[in-house]
Amino acid sequence: MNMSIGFCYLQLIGITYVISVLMGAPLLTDILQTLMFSIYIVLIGFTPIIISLKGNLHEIYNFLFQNEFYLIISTSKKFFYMRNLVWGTIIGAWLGAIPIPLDWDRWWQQWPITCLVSSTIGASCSIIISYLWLWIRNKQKYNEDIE
Amino acid sequence: MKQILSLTDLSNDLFFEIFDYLDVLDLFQAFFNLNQRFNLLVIDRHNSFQANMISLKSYKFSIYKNFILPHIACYIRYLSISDELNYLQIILQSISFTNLLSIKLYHVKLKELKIILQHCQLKYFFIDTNYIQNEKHLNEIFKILFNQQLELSIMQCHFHTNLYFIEEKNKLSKLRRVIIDCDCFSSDFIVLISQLRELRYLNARINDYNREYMDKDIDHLTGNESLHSLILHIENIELDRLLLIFSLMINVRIIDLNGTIDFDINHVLELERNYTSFRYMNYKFLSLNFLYIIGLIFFLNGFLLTRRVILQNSIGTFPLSIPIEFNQVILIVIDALRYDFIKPNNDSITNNYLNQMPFVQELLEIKSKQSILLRLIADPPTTTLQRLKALTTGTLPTFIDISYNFIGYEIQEDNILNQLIKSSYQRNISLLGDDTWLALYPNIKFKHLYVYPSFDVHDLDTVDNGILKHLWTVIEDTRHEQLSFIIAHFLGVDHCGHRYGPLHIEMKRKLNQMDDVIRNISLSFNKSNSSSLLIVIGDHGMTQQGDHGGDELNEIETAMFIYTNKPNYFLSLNQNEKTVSQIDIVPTLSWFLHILIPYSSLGMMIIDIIPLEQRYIAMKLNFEQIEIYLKHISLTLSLSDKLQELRANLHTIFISFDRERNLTMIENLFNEFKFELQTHFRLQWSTFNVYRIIIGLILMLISCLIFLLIFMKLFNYENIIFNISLTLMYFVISFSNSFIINEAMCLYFFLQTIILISKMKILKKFLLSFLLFLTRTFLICREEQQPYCIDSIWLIKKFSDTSDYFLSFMATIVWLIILILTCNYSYLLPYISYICVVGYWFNIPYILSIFYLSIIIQICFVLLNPNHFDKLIYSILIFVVGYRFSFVIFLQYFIYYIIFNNNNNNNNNNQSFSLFLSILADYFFYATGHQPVLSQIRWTAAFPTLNSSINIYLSLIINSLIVRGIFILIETFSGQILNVIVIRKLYQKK
Repeated sequence: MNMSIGFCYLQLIGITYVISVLMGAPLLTDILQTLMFSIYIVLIGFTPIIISLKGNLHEIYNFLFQNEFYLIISTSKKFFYMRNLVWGTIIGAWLGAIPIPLDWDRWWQQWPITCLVSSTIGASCSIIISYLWLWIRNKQKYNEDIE
Repeated sequence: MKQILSLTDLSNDLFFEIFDYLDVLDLFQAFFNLNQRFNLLVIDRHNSFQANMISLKSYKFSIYKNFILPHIACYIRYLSISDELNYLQIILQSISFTNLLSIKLYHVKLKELKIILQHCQLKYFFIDTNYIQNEKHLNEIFKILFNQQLELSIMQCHFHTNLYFIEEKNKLSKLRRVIIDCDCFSSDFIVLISQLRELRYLNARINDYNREYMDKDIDHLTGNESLHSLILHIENIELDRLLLIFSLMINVRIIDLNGTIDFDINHVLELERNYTSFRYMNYKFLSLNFLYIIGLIFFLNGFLLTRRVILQNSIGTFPLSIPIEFNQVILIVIDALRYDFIKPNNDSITNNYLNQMPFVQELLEIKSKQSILLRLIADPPTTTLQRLKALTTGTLPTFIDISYNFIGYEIQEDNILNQLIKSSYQRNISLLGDDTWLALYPNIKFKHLYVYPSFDVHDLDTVDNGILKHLWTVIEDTRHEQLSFIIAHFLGVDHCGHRYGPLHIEMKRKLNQMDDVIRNISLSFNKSNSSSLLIVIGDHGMTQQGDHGGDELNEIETAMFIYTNKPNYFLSLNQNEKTVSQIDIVPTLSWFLHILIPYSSLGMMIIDIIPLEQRYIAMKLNFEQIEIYLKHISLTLSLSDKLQELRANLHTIFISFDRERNLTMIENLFNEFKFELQTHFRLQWSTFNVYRIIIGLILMLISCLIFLLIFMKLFNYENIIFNISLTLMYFVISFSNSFIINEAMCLYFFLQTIILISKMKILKKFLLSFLLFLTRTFLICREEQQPYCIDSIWLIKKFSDTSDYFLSFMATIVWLIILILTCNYSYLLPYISYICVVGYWFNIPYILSIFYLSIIIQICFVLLNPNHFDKLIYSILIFVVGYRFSFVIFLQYFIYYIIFNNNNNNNNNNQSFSLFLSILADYFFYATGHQPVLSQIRWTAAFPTLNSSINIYLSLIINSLIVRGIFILIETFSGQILNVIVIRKLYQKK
C-alpha cells in the first residue's frame, strides 16, 4: 500500500508538471523551478486525499471532477475539507499567475514565486473558509433545533 | 434533549426519511441484514422505492434479482433500467411490478415493454430504444399508451425510426408534457395536438418527406387551447401545413422553430401572433448588429485620430542674400538624452546622471557666445521611430497617418534629407549608428554609411563603439569637401536606461563617453578652418525606471545643445533657460543647412539663435512655407479664429508689405503665431473626442444588453460562476497595459483553464491543450515585451534556405489535408489555386498569374452561388497566410475538428463552450503571428514578389488599393475568419 501511495505521488507530480507547462510555464528553462512547484502543490494540496483514498488515482480524479457519484461521500466533514483543500490550492496557484506579466520589475514576480505563495494562501484560506462554513451551518441547525 | 450516541438511537421515522433518498441497491447494501430492526425497517415499510438499474454489473444484478426484488417488487414506484443484457426479461419472468408509477427504459424490446404497459398504470414514461423499428409495432405501443394508460402525464419517446400513429379516436386525456424525438408526419402531429386536451408542452419533429396525402381528417379538427410551449423541428414541410398547425394552437406563448424550409417565413410572421421568440426573425438581429456597428463607428471616429499625409515637396529657391554659413553640420542624436542629464546642476545631490557631462558645461560657460543649450519638448508617443519622423519632417504625430501607400515605415512626406538631395548645393550626407534611419529612408544615397542593428537592448556598446570607430575618419574625410551633413545616432544611453535605469553606475560611464565625443568633435572643430556646426539632440527622455513611450514629463523633456566654431555667432542671446518644441528643430536645421523647409512641417524657427540681421528673412521663409501648407490643409481642417487673425496679420507684414521694420514687434507676433498654431494642431491631432467615444461605447453596450435579454432563456446555468468570472477577467484585462502587452499569453491561459475545467474525456482534453501548446511557438513579440521575449527562430525572416523549403513543404501537406477535408473534388478551383501557391513557394515563375485568374473565376462562381464562398476564402488564405503560419491554421482547424467531432451528446451547447470558441478566435489572431500594433501588420501579404511579367490588366487589378487592402485584411484576421467559416460548416454537419 505504501508503494502505491508513493507511486501516486509521483504520478500526481508528473501530471502537475505537465499541466503547468501546458498552462504556460517555460518548457526549456526553469525546469527545476517548475518541478519544485509541482512537488509543492502536490504536497500541500493532495496529501490528505492521496492518503485517505489509498493512492487510487482514478478515484481521486472522480472525486475531484465527477461529483455525482461522490456526492454522498463528500457530505462527510473529512471529505468536505479535503475537497476544498485541493480546489483551494489549485485556484490559489491559478490566481498566482496574475501578477507575473505586470511590469513592476520586482524580483518576486518570477515564476513560480507568486504561484507558490498564492497556492499556500489558497490552501489555508480554503481550510479556514470550510471551517467557518461548517461552523455557521452547525449553528443554524442548532438554532433551528432549539426553536 | 436526548443524547444520540449511535445510529440505532435514531427513530424509525427518521430512517424512513433517509431511505426515501436512497437507491434500492445502496439501501440494501447499507442496512439489510444488520439486525432485526433494520430488516423490518427496510422491507416492511409500506412506502415507495426507487430502483436505478442502468449500467448494472452482472453481480450486482444477481443481488437485485435474488435478494432485493422478491421482497419489494410490489413497492417499487420508480424504475429505470437498461435492457441491453436482457435483465428485464429475466426479472419479468418471476416478478411483477404492480405499483410502478414512473419508468425509464433504455434499449427495451417489444415483448417486455408490452408486459409492463399492460400491468401498470404509469404517470411518467420515458423510452429510448432502437430495438423497435417496425411501424406496426410502434403503432401497437402507441395504441396501448393512448388508450390504456389514462393516468399518463409526461411522455418522452426516442425511437430511432420514423413514426406515425394515425388512429381513429384515442382516449388519451391527461398527457401534459410530450417529447417525441423522432420524425413524424404533419398530419399525425395535427391529430396528436387536436386530441390531447391537457397538453401543455410539446417537443416534436415534423418531416413530411415521402408522405402520402391523407387529409381526410382535417375537416373535423379543433384547436388546442392548453398548449403553451412548443418546440418544433421542421423539415420538408409546406407553408399551408405549417400555417394550419399554427392556427390550431391558440394559446401558444413560447415557440421555438428549428430546421430548414424553403419559403419565406415572413408570411407566417404577418399571419401569426403571440410569439415571444422566433429563431427566423433575422431582421431583429440584423438591426441589433446595425446598432452595434453604428456604435463602433462613433467610437472609432472619436478614438482613431487621423491625419492626411500630403505628398508634396517644397519648391522654390533659398533666398540668395543669405550666404552659406556652415560647411560641415554634424547632427548627433543621443537616444533618450533627458534634459537633466546634460543641464548644469547646482544642487548638492550627486548621483550617476547629474552633472556627468562636464565638458558641455564648460563650453557653455567659457564659450557662451558659441554654444547654447535649449530645453526640447517632444510630442508623445516618445518612441524613437516616431521621434525621428518628427525630427525630419516636422509633423505632429497621430494614430494613423492616412497615406496613399502601404509600405511599412518609409517616410513619404517631404523631409530634410529629401530637401538636401534636391537642393542645388550638393551637400553630401553620412549616416552612422542606429539602423532605424535606414528603415525610414531606404532610398537616400549616403556618402558614408555605418549602421548597426538596434534591437538588442542589452548591448550597451556595439552601436556606440561602431560609430566612434568611423566617426573621426568620416569627419576628416568630409571636411575637405565643400559641404557635408553627418548624422550620428548613439543608442548607448537608451539601452543603459532600459537595462539598468538612470541611477546605475553604467549611466555615468555612458554619459561621460558622450561628453568625450562632444569634446573630441569640438576640438576637431577648433583645428579646422571651415565653419562647422555641432547639434546634439535627444530624441526623447526616460522615466526614472529607464523606460519611455508615454507622455510623462521625464519622457518628453529632452535637450538640444549647439556649438559652432564661428566666434560670436550666438551673440545676441539672453542666457535664460529656453524651451522649444521638438519640431521647431526642422526649420532651424533647414536654415543652417541652407535648404527649404519641408512642405508639411509645422515647426517654427527658433528665432533667438539666428543672427539678428538674418532674422527677418528667416521668419519670412518660414511663414511662406506654413502659409502654403495651411492653405492646403485648411481644405479638410478648420482653423480657429485667433489663428486666422494672426495669420492675416503676418500675411500683411511679410507678403503684402514685405519691409523690415520694428523687428521685436514682428518677433513677438511670430512667436504668438507659433504658439497658437502648434497648440491648435496638437488639439486637432492628439485629443480624443471623448463624447463620441462615450456615445459609441453606450450604443455598443445597449446592443449587447438587448442580445443578452433575447438569449436569456436559452442560458444553461451550468458553470455559470466560472464563465462569468472568466468573462469579467477578460474584460478587466483591457484596463492594464501589462496585460494588453501580454494579451496573447493571457488568452492562452484562459483557454487552457477552460479545457482543464471542461467535462471531456481526458485524452481529448490533453490533445486539445497540447495542440494549443504547439501554437505558442508561433506567437511573436511586441516591442514592449522585448527583453524577456525572444521570437521563435523560424519566424525571423529568411532563416536559411533549407529551413524555408522545409517549412513550405510542411505547409503544402498541411493545406492539402485541409482542402481534402473541406472541398469536394468536383469543385476543382481551390485545388488549382493551391497548386499555384505551392509553385510560388518553390519559386516557379509565372505561376502566380494563374492563381490570380483562378481567384477571379472563383469570385464569379461565388456571385452565382454563395455556397462556394468558404472555398474562395480558403484559396485566398493559402496564398495570403504564407507557408510560415500555415501550420497554425492547420492546428486551428484540427482543434475545431476535435471539438466538434465525436461529441454526440449536447454538452457543447453550454456557454463555456461558446466562451471557449470566442476566446479561441481572438487567440488565433495572435497565434498567426500578429500583434495589435500598427508596425506589426504584415504588408508582405499584399506585395508578392513577382518574378514574372504579368499581363498589364492583371497587374492593374493586383496592385489596386482595394485588392491589396482586402488581402491584408484577410491575412490579419485569418484566425477569426477561419473561426467563422469552420464553425458554421462543422456545426451544420452535426
